[in-house]
Amino acid sequence: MSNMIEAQALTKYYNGTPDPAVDEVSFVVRQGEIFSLLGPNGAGKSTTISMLSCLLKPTSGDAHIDGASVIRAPQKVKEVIGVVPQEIALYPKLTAYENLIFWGRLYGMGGKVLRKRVDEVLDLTGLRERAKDRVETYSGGMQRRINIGVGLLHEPKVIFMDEPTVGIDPQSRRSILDTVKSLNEQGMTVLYTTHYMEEAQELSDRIGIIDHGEMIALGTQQELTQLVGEQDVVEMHIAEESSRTEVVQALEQVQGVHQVQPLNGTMRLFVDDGNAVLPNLITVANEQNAKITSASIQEPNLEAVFLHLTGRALRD
Amino acid sequence: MVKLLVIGLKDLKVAFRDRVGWIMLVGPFALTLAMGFVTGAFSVSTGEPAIEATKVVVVNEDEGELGEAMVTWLRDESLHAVLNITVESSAARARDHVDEGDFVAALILPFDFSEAILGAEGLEQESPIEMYVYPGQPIRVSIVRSMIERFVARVDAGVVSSKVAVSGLIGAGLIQPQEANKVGREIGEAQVTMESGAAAGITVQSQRVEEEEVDIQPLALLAPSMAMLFLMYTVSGIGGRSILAEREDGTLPRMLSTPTDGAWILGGKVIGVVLVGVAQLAIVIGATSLLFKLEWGDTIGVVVLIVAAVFGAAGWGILLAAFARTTEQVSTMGSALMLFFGLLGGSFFGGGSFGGVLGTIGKITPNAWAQEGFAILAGAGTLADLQGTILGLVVMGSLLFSVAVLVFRRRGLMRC
Amino acid sequence: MKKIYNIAWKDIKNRFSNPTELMFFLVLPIIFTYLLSGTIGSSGETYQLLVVDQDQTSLSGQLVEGLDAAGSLQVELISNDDVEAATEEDNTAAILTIPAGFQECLYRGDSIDLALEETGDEGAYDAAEQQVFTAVEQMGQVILAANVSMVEYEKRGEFADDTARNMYYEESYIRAEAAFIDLPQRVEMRTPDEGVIYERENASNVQASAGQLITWVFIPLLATAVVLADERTTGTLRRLFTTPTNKATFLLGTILGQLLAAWVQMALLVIFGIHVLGIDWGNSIPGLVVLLLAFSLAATALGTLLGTLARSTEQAGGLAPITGMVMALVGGCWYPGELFSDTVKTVNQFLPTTWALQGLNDLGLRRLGLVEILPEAGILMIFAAVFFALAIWRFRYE
Repeated sequence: MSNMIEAQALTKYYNGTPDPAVDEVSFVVRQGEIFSLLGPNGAGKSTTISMLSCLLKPTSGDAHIDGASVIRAPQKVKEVIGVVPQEIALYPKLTAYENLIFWGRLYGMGGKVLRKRVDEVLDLTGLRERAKDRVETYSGGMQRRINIGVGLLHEPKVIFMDEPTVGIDPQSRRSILDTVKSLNEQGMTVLYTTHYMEEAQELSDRIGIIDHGEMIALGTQQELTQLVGEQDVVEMHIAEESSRTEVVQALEQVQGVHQVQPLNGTMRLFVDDGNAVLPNLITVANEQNAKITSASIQEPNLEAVFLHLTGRALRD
Repeated sequence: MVKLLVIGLKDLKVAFRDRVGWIMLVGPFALTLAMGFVTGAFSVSTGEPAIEATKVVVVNEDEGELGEAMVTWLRDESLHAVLNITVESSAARARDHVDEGDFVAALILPFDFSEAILGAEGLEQESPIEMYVYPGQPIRVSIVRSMIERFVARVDAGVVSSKVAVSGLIGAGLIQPQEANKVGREIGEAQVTMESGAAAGITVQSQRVEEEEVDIQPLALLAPSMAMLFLMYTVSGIGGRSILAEREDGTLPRMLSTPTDGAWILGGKVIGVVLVGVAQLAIVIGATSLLFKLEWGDTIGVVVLIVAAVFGAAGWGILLAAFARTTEQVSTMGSALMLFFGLLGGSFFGGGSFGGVLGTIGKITPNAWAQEGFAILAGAGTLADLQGTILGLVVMGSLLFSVAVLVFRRRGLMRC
Repeated sequence: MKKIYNIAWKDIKNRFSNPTELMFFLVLPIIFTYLLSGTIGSSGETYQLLVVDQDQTSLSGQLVEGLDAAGSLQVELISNDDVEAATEEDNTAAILTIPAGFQECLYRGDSIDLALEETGDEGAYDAAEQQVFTAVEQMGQVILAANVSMVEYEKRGEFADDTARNMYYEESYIRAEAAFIDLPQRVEMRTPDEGVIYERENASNVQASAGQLITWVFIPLLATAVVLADERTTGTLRRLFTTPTNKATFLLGTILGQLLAAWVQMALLVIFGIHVLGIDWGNSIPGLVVLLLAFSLAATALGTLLGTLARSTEQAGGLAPITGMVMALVGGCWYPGELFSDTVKTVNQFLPTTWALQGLNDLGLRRLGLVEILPEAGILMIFAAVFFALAIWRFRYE
């Protein structure tokens, strides 16, 4: 399988800032896979996508999409990519149909071919019956669907989806995730950015974790969770009034505990064997007069990976 | 009451946190400056003439004395402020100068100009002055034309007087026909030197309602007209818009979830609009007073008038918001209202207005009432003289606000 | 090219999706042009000048006739008893009282005062005052001539009695009146265009209409700024640049959309001016077309530049009308540019509105042709080029 996207040491400095927004980010996305860029707000996901979409010129580095350089051949790149931006980038006063026709023409489509394709996209997004209504009359979820539809009009080889589920209801979110899977099943390569771990887990073949402009981890889910080793994650909720510093220090001394991360009333502990260690943890916490309200053992997940790598939660 | 102020002050803060709010302040000020600049209103205070003298080129081909007399009169010092005369010997060159825009008009006195008016053939001889004009300056052309016609009319009047007198004297046998020219000349000269002894005839005693002449600075009328123009945009487009924007943004439902009645919320929005509008007018007035030493008149009167004017205007803004469905509609309608009211209320005439039916219709605009009030104050009026104006504005605002509340209630806009 | 038309058509659809846009596009410009072009009557049309003739003589009758012809106010004769009631009427501008003894006084060669009293609004009174002054001046010339005749007679002889005296006065008056009527025109107005008689009223109408045309086309074209700002804030501009569409295509498309609408608007306003208001735009249609095209380009270019400066739709929406109004005002669109001081005339050379107005005046007033207005059109194209260059340099999609 060939590489659809090859990012090589992409770096971006914005004017007047000493620190880069994106710092030597490199990754490849294979043809036909779903690749997620996972990271908290401000990590550099949107800047990376902007560079790959040829909206921003990298300060250094390059990227190739289907063999075309984003620096030297941006027009060629734009012909093969579809972009679904985070905001609803549509003309609210035009109907869905008019919006699709307009954007389709910008991709060089026209005539019967365009009209046929518009109908297909309307079917795909389930909005055929509302096609002649102005976009401003749509619900948020419907607007998001049309927003995606525009990115698919010209049947791109790869689609960039920049946090497409932000701020929408669970039903619409579900619909979008299913759409992404469906597109991928039909052979489309997807570059998906998100700060929702569950989405990245559900959709992705491979994931790149990005923080403060740097790619801090990259691989399949399995590969990433192995970064935290064979460790289990124990989550204990401790009442606020307990003295946390002493509790943390005490818990760190328990055998089998590698790391304790206090987070807003929750303790996340990376341990060798959750089942074996948990009773000792509860005992030690009680000795510290810490009131435990709940405790659970989890398989390591991306949240844990992020926490392990950065010391912060994915959604702080 | 406190909640009214809380909501109002919040709106004032929001308005000025946004650069748009400052644009709405700078706007009327910039326009007032521009108005003063082009109308020469600034130069009134320095004593310089506001309009420069009109450039005229004169070609005197007249073989008689009248042509010379006209040129001398045109070049008289008393007319220097109005006319800038250049004498040219060639008519063709003079016309070329006018074509090139160097002069507004060329006055070409024909060779028989004097003969046609003063000659023995009678007054009916036609030998007119050719006034070759630059049509692009019709006002200046008409000024020059009326001055020339006035001169010629005076000459004609003198000649007619002599000839009528002479023919009467001959008919009465008091002089001989051969004395006609000599007597006619004597009579004519006596008229020129005003020694004819003849009375002026009829004079008109004009009795205006306002007898005292008060020196009103033109900018004192221009500035409020511009300020009122933008005030309508501020209170309707921005003020009215903010009501609907709160609904769209979700902050209105949030306010309604507090123990605050919808009418109080609306009242608070009105206060916010009024505060923004008062700030706008106050800044225009304050800045022009400081920078241009503009005399607005009685201070208390000015303050009360500002508040009343803004109240009247705000009524329109709130009413707009009551009928509009989206913020965009309010903005669009607010702009249209600003322009239409500005036209009807006299903002585009530097404070003047239409007469007749249009003038009456203009009374629905706060612009017209406020303009009247500011003119009264600029003309040394006091608060007492503003009673009618203030009442008109307060009634306007109250009526419109009441209707707006009804409409809001009917449309359920003040409920979640 | 297709993409350019696509973008232009999208913008036109967007703009006119709101029916109230028609208000700014056509309704308000027509209203403003109609009301401000000076083609409507003055405020005195519906006002009356009331006259109380306490003298009831032939000379007082002559004055009343002269009043009727001297202005646009309707002259109404009333009696003394009706004065109070008449002053209550809304449409009365002023009352003129011709006192008893008017004729007698004039026959004696003495002067006499007439009382003119304000009853209506100030504007109407001004018109009434002017009408009275004009009539009095005209009659005054005849009276002066008759007075001179009396004075000269009395220098050389004596009248047998008052009857003879009055008869002589009347004869002198009649002769003087006839002499004034027979006077030929002393001033002949000529313009470069031989075929057209110079009419001050038409000139003012052309000037005012030109000013309104420029204002109402200029401000919406500056609102190109709003289109750009809107695209930027909604994110559609950003999206647009992810398609294979370059900056030039986008700008040209946006500009074309605005220009097409402006050309239709200008055509409608010009046609309205010609057929409804009777405005004479001169002899050169190609000149008019070229000038308006150049002007619309300059205005759109400036609007585009403003769009790159504004950070939000609201900012652009505030900047565009203010900039447009100030430029229209200083350019001479609202207030006659011929009365501007040299300072203002120097400053306004840097405004496109000034050159557009000058071009229209050259076409409509000086009745020049295409070749003669090419300099103005050229300068407007330079404005367009400079503004566009600056806009492209400053253009960002976010």
